[in-house]
Amino acid sequence: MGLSAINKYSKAKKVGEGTYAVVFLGKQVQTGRDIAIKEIKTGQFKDGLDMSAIREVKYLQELMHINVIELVDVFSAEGNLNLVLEFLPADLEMIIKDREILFSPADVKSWLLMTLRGVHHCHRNFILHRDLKPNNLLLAPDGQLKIADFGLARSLGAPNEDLTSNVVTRWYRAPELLFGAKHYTEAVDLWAIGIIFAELMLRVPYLPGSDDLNQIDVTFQALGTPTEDNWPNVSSLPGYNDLKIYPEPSRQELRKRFIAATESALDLMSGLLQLNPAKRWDTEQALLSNYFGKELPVPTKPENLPKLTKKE
Amino acid sequence: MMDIPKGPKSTLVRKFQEEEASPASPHEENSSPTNNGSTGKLTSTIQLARPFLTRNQIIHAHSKNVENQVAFDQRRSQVFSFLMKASSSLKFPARVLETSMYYYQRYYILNRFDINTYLDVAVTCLFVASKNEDTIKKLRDILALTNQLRSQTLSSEQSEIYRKKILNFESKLLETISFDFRNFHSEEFLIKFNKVLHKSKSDSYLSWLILFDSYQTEISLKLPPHVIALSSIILASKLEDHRASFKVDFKKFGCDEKLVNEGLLDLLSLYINSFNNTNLSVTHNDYEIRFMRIKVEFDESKPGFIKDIESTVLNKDEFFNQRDFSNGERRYMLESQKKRLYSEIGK
Repeated sequence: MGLSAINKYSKAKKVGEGTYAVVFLGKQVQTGRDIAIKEIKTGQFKDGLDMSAIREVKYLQELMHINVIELVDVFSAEGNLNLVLEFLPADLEMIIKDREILFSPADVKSWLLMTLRGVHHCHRNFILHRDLKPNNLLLAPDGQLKIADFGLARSLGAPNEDLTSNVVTRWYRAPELLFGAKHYTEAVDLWAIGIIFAELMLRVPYLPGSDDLNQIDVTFQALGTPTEDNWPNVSSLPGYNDLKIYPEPSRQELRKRFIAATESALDLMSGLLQLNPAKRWDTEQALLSNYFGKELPVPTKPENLPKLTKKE
Repeated sequence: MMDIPKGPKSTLVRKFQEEEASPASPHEENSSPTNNGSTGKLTSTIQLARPFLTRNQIIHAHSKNVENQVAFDQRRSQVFSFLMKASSSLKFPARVLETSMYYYQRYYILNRFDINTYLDVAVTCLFVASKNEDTIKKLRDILALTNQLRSQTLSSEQSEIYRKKILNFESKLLETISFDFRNFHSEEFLIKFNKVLHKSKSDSYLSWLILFDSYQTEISLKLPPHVIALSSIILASKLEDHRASFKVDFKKFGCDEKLVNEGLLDLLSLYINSFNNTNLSVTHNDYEIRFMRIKVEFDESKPGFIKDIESTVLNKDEFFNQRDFSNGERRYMLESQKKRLYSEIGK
């Protein structure tokens, strides 16, 4: 099937179907490069073209970074919108769940480094991702990690603008979102990265709340309940009521929970998981931390990272 | 997301013009199994986004799509006051309204003006603007309100047909704007520029009123947001103090003087020709006479303007040809991807 006179793409097989899109695998005919085609369904929806499609086009068209998925082309044909994306066969969730793979500390460092670099690029362009989770961190055949799914992304709002707190998959949701804050910043993405970091070390989801209420409990049981002392004005947030007050975990307790973690790994994780978003580390602080700077081992080269053992 | 363009805009526009005529032309392919068209050929087009157009380009586009320019202009002010009412009833922020006004004007650059559907187009523009500004509302709710404003009562069956009609307009609008969702809002620049220039609060407010009025003109089709902001600020200073200069340190604000002059010219014509339709007239009714004086002084200063595109070039430009969005396929690129496009064509 020809898709354009200049850049031809072939659609080989359907690999997935979401609520608003069907994903096909294919090739760029001229170069033989593997690509994925996201065919956005329009028409049958009550509200026309989905917002997430608009967001993906809007942000990915302008972002270009090795750790952000590349939007190769945008097509409109037969009433459908087609997004041609680079082909990324695996994601971090699949790797975490693959019990036959052993992670070395250097591997974890490498994945975290690539995640932070990609997110840093988004943030310096004032774009919030708002849905970071292992499932959205895709892995290229050469080992590079790429941030994908910009369906919830938006640009950093003006100070007087209300943002919806109903973002980020529950387990990766920052406390300010759990409290229903209408004003938040890049810090929500950094919290999610902190949780992903913990998950990489534990190999199981760190804070798997069963529903929104339970998520609040699970989060604060592990990391302590925010109070006016460590987070001034937190009690004025709409969701801050009927809370069980848990103490913040001591360093010793964290060491016990994350047995393999080094001191600078714990520093970084605690920095990313600061309850108060104003105190939470930003991407620059995280990237320049001792964990990446001084401490050995050096991160594994992307091409040497573990790959999926099972092929679908 | 928007960077201030570094180079002078005039050359940019001309360059588009000269180079783009060929890539925008349709490339025909052999028949494909997915195509049932009677010709047996699949039309494939590549479209570079053109966020800004020149004065002549707009005139040229209207000459193709608008039969009666006077009627078109009248309907446009009617549509804008309709959009203002709808947007405030739906409690949309001002930027949704502004984007919808921009989309409405953009729509008729490539589509024929039809007296029977222009309000439907306006509703569609408001709907798409609300999506792009992250303040989406259900189409059903938008239609309920706009139908009420238009005193249009529809049965549930008619509503369903009407909803589909709007969704059809949506896909036409999306193709018209080349799936280019970059927003162009001048307010942020206006506030920051005023601050850097140490303008008083009242001068800044005046420039804000002028900026809001600018959306009633074609300025947003022509000029990038920071230029519109600077033009509004210069005009505001001039209104308050006749000794103020038309010139500022343009480079400091990333603006080309000639483009700022274009902005000033359009703003002055707006206030001279239809002062009573502007929002400024509500708060500053006594300012009307000042614009004539400023215009005379502006002309005497012999301002430079960008060299517009010749009609011979315009006539060859296939960008302005009638589009058929129902057939074939179109590939959309931002102008920043131009290099890549030319390297592909070179092969």
